[in-house]
Amino acid sequence: MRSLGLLFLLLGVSLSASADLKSLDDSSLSAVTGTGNGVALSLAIQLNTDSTGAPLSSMGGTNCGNNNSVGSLNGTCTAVMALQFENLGGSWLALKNVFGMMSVPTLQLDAYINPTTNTAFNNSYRFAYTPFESGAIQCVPDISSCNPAGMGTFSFTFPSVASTNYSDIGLYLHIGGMAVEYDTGGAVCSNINSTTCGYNVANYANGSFGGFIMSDATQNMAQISIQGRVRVYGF
Amino acid sequence: MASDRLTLRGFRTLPLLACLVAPAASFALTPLGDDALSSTSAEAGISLYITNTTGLGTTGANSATGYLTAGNTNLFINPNNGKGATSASFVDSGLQILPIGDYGASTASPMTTTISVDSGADANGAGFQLTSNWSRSRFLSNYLLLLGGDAPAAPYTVPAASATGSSAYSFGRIAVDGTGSFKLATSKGLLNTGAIDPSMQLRFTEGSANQFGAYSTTPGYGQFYYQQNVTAGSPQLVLDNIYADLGFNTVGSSSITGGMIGACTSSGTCGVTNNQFAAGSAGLYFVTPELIFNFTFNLNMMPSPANSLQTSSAAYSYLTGTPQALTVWGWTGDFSGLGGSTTNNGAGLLIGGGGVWANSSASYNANVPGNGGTGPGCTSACTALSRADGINLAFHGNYDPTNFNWWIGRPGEVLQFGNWETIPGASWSLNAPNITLGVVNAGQGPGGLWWGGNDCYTGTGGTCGSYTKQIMPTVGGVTGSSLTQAGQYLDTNETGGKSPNNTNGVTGANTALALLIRNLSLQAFSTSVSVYDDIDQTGTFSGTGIANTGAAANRVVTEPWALIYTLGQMDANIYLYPFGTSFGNSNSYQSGLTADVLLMTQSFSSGYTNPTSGVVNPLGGNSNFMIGEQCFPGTAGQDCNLPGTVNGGSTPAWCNPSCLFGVGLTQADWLWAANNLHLNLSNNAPGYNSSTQTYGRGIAFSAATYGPGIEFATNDYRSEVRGFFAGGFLQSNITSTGTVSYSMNNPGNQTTSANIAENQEVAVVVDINQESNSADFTVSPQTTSASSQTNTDCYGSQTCASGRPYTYLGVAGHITFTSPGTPNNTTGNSTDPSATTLDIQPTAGGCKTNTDFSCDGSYISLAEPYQPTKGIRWADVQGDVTILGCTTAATCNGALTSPSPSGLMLISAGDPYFNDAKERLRIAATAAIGSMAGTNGAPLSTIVKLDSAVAFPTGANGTLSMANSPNALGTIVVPAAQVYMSLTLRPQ
Repeated sequence: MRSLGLLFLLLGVSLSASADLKSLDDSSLSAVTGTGNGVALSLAIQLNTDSTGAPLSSMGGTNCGNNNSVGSLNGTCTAVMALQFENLGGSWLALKNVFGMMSVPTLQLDAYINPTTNTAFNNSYRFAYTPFESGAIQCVPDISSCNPAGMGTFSFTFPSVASTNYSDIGLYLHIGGMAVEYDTGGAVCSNINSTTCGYNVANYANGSFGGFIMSDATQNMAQISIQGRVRVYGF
Repeated sequence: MASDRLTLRGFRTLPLLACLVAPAASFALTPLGDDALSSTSAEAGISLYITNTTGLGTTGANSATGYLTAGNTNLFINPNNGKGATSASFVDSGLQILPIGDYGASTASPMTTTISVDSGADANGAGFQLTSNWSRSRFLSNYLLLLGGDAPAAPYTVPAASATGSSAYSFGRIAVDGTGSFKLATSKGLLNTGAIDPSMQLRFTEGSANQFGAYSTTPGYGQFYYQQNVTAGSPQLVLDNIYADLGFNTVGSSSITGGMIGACTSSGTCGVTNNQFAAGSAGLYFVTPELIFNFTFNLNMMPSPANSLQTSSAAYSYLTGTPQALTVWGWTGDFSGLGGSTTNNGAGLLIGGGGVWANSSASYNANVPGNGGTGPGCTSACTALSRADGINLAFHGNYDPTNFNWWIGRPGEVLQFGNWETIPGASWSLNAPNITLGVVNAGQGPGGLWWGGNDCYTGTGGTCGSYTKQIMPTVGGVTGSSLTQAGQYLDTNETGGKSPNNTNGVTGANTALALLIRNLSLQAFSTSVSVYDDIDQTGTFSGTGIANTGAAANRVVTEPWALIYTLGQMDANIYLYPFGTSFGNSNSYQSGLTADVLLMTQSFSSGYTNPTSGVVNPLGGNSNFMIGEQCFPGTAGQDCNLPGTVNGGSTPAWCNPSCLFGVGLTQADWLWAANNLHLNLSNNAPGYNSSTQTYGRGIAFSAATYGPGIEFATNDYRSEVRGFFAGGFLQSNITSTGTVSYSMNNPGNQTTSANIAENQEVAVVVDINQESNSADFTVSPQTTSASSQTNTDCYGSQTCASGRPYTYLGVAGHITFTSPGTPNNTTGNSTDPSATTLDIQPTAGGCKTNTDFSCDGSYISLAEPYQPTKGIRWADVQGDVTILGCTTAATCNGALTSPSPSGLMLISAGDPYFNDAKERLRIAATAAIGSMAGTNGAPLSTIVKLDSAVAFPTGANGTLSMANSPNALGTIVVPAAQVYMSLTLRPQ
């Protein structure tokens, strides 16, 4: 309120009038709702879909299909991701008819200080690791003596309760087909910008050897409830 | 009053007394304050009262390119002065001061100016006071020109309109409407360093609190206009409802000896000085224990105004221009140093003579005038560098933690960042020792800048000091005596020289207005944020602005969240080229200005030692970009955020906040560079005619991709950001028993135990590099269309007829990630065909295989903080990505539904769509990739490398590199895709 008063004073508004300003302070909010003053995050991602989860018509739409049928893998479906492995130039693992969604409605972010006294569940080996080179067990550098007591932490909390709803994370992923395809030119080539090489894997010459769908039983987003919270420290 | 004893007797005989129509305010040698001044009146003194109905200055018809026209009133800055090839000047041509009515309307009322002088004395001795105020007027600059280039004109002469080769193209047209005042009080002479309690205040304001951040179709008073194209209907950028206030004041009851303004330093530098302070030039030095700085405005855009500013008196230009909100912005408060941990209280401002200095790459950028022999890497030779004509500024000051605030938002919702704290051990919150403005021709300039520096992960001593974990950014690299230790030399010049460069095909456009920054440091951060919402306590849209002070006060919520964007050492070379005012078309695509920009902020400090704890804080002196929030001494099994842990409203002690914990990028480096960057006020889309492909953009876009707005487009772009992704305490006061004594209302309270980030926990080393030969980005004012609004497009439960449609900052853009060269297993490329002076330079014979690190081009690297030779890199990113904007009502409306348009939204707590009384910040973008990005869009691809990410600069390349024979896993290609992402933040 002090800064607000300053601004109003600067802009020519009398301070006496601003005395009526009443904000919802943190303590009041906490008392009413039982929440703290941390941040709540929401995240949404759509890959090659519209907001309903339907594949974009501009990328083939229903021609790509919502199922794993081979017939959906035609040349009009451009929702492709291609992987080429080192020293295997000219051949590609093509993931076709790729689309999906992810939703995280609420993820609470808070900061804490770990208690200065360990609980009975403390296990110092959780904070030790074995470097690839030496093989000797060491503590994580930021966690002195493998004991995180008193450290500052970030806390991530998913609020939903599994007994009433599953809404912490929603996931839907559709890979209509997988196939090994070759550069159009037929020659071994790692020039992915060539018109005869690399990315031109949508020829579908080799059909599909599999597909992948992550969803619920009704082809909607799989709903996940994650109870409890995670404290991140030591990084 | 004491002032009665002295009068300026000699002035009474002057003919000017005929103009005296009112007695002046009396003089009092006290710090200036409105209340004090307003209580004085009708005392002795001299007042001049000037009225004018026709205005001052003239302007004639100007050619399309804005050549000077005979008869214009011109203001020359840095005039041609017979220095031959160095001759260049900035000209404000067609300067006019005109009476103006409300919102730019014509008026029959004269503009008036009052100037009052009064002398007097008090216990401290004699002195005088000068005051002036003026009524609403328009200060109009019809053409902002640069003279010079290929055909330097003789001193103070006007080139003929037909002259060829002269770079008399205009940046555009500006106008300022409003009232103002000036007050100065001092003693013992104007520039006497022995003055007692002097003060000065300059105000330009008509802005009102009710209009600041308000959603209203009626603008406030006080505007600044910028128009690139002089024709009617071309877009204008408008700062509306301006309140600007700059005051140098003394504080406290004790008298303070001052110079021109404020208190002298212990070394006696004040008033007119040749002290090198920081900028290395003589000038006027204002130093004060309290500097008042307020600057607030609503930033709007008029895509299609009815009139040109030149015809301002003929029409009601602003209201008829249908202004659209871009953002709300402001700074308010003091630089006073009160409460800080430093002894450097107050602020100092030096306005010095001298512009751009000549230098070369060999002598490096640290050798700039102004380091005074004490700056990093500078010897006494630094002060010997001569400057051309120009202006240099220097400033240092400490944010007053009790009242300094930064405001940003949109109409109806404004964020206030307050409780600023200076990092313990820092000399100043803000230190800008060298900001230089000057006009230069081709071949002139200070040389480029060095990016990166030494490897101090394994090395200690010398330039690395004692801080051994300094993986990056590097310590002392750019200031080392051996340039081979440093990083990469960058210059905006495409031919490798040091001169300003422009290749846009405009004859004679090489003359540039240079803005140079050296060694700027910001070492303060905000520890609280308040949201001002234009709703009442019941959640109903008020429509009265954020400053509603009536009985139903608007909602304000304060959160103890920290925002950290400190700057270690910022250096910049920015060259601005005028591009004319009307060639091109009405969209002003080829008018206004282009720029060559080289801007970087790096972290060369080994940290500050906390003066209280004696512990080194690695954030000190460095660039850090973090967010933070209060933390709690949580007891095992309990959580203050879970229902049931707060019983009956009684909060357990362990739920009291005890610290601020931050996370983000620390000890970071950030580079932003572009050649031929065109800044365009666009009223429709796209910013460039795709058929001309003027700036190398090889992609044809749908016009629907872009809306009106401010467009940035370049054909040579690089940006890089790197640092530690880490977390740690920003503030804490934790005892061994967990006793809580931290208070967000007591900034600077780091008195015990842990201190800022002294317990930093590093997660990963991040390095992201982008190189492009075609980048285009537009920010747009966006408002849901009134014609197709639904009720969910407006606040509260009201219909759109009575409610407020959403406004937000829309974004759209495109980038082509450049291929650094096609790896060829048999022959290789000895050079990177796409590399410019801004890009990572390939080693000789590079680009043979996927393991050639010097041809990584655009990449993303993650490395282990304690094993920096281990990591993963997505390298050689190529292809096209377009950020889709919203231009139609169909896509702009329903802004809260998913997917919402690309842009930034602040959403009111009164919004019925969410129904939870929480304000929100939403960041959303829809990215089209590959062939979806536009006609001829190239697929997005990257090579994945593992296991040998080396987080060190490696001499010639000076950047993080894959130097140890990395293992390439393979290649990922996405021929086409469309991805929508949104991130929403809200209080819990």
